[in-house]
Amino acid sequence: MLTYAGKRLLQLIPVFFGSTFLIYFMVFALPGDPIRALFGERQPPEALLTQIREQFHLNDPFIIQYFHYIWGLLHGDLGTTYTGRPVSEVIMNAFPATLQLATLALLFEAVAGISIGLVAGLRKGKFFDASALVVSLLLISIPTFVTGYVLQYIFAVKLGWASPTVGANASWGDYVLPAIVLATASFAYIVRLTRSSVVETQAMDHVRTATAKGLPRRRVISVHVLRNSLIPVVTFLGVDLGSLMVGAIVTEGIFNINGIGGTVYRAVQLGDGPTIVSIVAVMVIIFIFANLLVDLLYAVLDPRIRYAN
Amino acid sequence: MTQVSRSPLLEVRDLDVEFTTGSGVVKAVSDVNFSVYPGETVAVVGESGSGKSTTSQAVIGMLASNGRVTRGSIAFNGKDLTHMSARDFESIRGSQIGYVPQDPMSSLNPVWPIGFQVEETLRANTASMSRADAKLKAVELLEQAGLGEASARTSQYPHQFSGGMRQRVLIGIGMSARPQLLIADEPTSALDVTVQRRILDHLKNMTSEHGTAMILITHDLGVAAERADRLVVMYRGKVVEAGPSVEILSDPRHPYTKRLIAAAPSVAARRILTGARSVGTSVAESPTAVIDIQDVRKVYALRGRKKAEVKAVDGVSIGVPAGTTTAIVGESGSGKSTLAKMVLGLEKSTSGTITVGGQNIGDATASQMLQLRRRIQPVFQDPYGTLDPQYSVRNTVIEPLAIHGVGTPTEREHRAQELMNEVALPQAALNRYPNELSGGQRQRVAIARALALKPEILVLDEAVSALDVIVQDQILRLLDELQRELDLTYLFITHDLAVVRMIADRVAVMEKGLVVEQGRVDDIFDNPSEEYTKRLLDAIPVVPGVA
Repeated sequence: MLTYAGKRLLQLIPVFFGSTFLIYFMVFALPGDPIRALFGERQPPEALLTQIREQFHLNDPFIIQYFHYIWGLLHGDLGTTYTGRPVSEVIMNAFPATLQLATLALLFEAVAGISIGLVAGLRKGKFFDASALVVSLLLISIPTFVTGYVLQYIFAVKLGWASPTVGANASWGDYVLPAIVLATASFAYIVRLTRSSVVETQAMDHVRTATAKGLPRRRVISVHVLRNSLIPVVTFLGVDLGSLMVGAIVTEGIFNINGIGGTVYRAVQLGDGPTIVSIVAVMVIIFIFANLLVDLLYAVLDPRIRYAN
Repeated sequence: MTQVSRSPLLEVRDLDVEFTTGSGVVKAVSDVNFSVYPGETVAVVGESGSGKSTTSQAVIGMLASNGRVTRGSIAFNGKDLTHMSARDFESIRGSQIGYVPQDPMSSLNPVWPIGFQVEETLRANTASMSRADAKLKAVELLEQAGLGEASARTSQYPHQFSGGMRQRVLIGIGMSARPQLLIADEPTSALDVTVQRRILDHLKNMTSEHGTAMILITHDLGVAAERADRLVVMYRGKVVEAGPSVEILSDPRHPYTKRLIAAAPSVAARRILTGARSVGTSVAESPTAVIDIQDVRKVYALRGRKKAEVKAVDGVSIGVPAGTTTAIVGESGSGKSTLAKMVLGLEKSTSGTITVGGQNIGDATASQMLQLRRRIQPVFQDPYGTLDPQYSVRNTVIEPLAIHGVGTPTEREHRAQELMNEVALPQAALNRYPNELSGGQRQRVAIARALALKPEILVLDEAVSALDVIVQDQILRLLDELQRELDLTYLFITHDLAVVRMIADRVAVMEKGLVVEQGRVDDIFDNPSEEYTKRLLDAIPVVPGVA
């Protein structure tokens, strides 16, 4: 188990360098002069431009720039944005909101999605199941900005149960509504995934054994159906954590949250290389760790995987 | 039987079971009557779809959700089970009626330790049993089941046990609450023959020790005859014959029972000879081996560990004379299927040479291999899995012709019709899809596909193992006719020695990657020199009156 986790951590190294290199290359290939863009309409003196370019090694070839960046990174320096703020500060500023939002969203989609999926799977073909399937399909097809604005209008503006925007120093409660909006599509997907997994598991021979050996139905479901059904769901949750963190741009926009998604978006518009690459690097690390966690959880849920390694 | 004077433990009367499906109501069981007295073993025999499993599921209230009992009664200790609530059934299952499932590989939950699965059964069926008591009792049960070092192994998971061991655990679970009745649904059909015998002995010991009555559901007449006091023969949802085993076997009344007994493969059976020919001479007359396997080895390296390897095939030499059938027989894991794959060129051998029709497979180029594939074709075990469900029978049998660019579309169509004749299927079958065919018909299609290119050699990997005995008998006869008409050479891979006797001229017995014995079938069967071959032969259930 430990060697397994160790191996997975070693895999982190090539993935990390590969992804940062790729992102750096793409930022490098972005059209336009980011430094000139900083000054907007004004005409800065050439000397100043040259000095800033020197500072950011922008005149060096791409590969040298990348090494400068990695060298800094290895010394704990994420670099500075083209506007002069340390990138670490920008990340620290935006990260808490994103983390709170993603955690709540993940919690919501896991708890609600698995419960509803389980009940639907147990009542296959009945009214509850049919409605769950129709509603989930609907939720998957509606884009986030529609659910976002609709829920914001109903629950925040009309009913006043939540605040329509989430400012700085927001409490966990303020994030509930945005988290639900963010999680909607994944939630619907988990309902369907759990449902089909439960239906499949129920038809398995070992579940029949469990019933035949005289276990009460409640125990057959909780001990023998649910645990086996969760394996594919856990995989999805792990992958989804990453997309919840970076993919929250629309939700962040609707609820005016200062998060990672919006920060990356603005950085891309400005062609701010150091910011983009650093944030993406942090995301890659989070993504890899989330997947490592899933793999370990996987091994806990399914002993066949544990002993295969 | 002395029990007859007592009242029956289980009495099934006029039972009808129906399933509601998309295409209407299907009657799976109709008018079934039989009883089981305390302590006796009753075998319910029939082919797949005969309603034998449905009947047993009705007894323990575990019919699929679209099935229900529409008529009749099932009295257990005088209580009618057909109108029992789901909750009341929970108190009967396990504690009063035990159950041993068919497939031990899939019937234990893979994510829980063995000990846990035994303990929860004990706790569910015994009032106020503590966790610690259940643990102790579980170890005791597993020891009775024949599990060495039981206390250490309770924390292991099902995948760490062999099929035979898993079935012992499942028997332990079924018997854990000392039920009055045990239902064993094909308890050994997924196991190797030698294991099968030990498991059946174990079942018998367990039930006779505790005076448990048993319903043994099986498709294997040999197993039924050997193990049961009385037989219930089912066919298409009805009981066609019932009575003491000896009487039924010696004097079958119903035509189906007669066919079943006639088709039962047995060690005493002789080579099917559909035409006028002598096996002995044909072997002697063609000394040239069309398949020549010389000292072939196949070693798989185990991942992650150095020097750890599995010798699947360890230095095997076999010659297959043209126009004859050579059987390779062995238990699962003996390396027989790996050998077949290497002969087909689907796996590369680690060392040694395989020559098929003069072509060395080891150094054949891709185009030589393609040419060779026209001459050697496979038929696999599972007719449900080997046919593409999206392909009509016509597409399936024409595809090899298209791949090798044989003939015009009209000629191919003509060949397809010819093939249907050869495998005795109606022309109309060409337009059908696999899911519209029975298991036997699908296997005929698989054979037709293999014959499409007019090959010289067929490699049949467990080609009749998944079929019911009567269908199996038909397919074996078909194969023999085809061999005679088309002068085919068969390499026949099987675990079933009784089948070997019916189809093969020569046999090679494999154990753990080695050929332990080979020669003419009659010689080997009459005079097995190896202990392993004797064990295999002994393990075949004998149908009295047929042997």
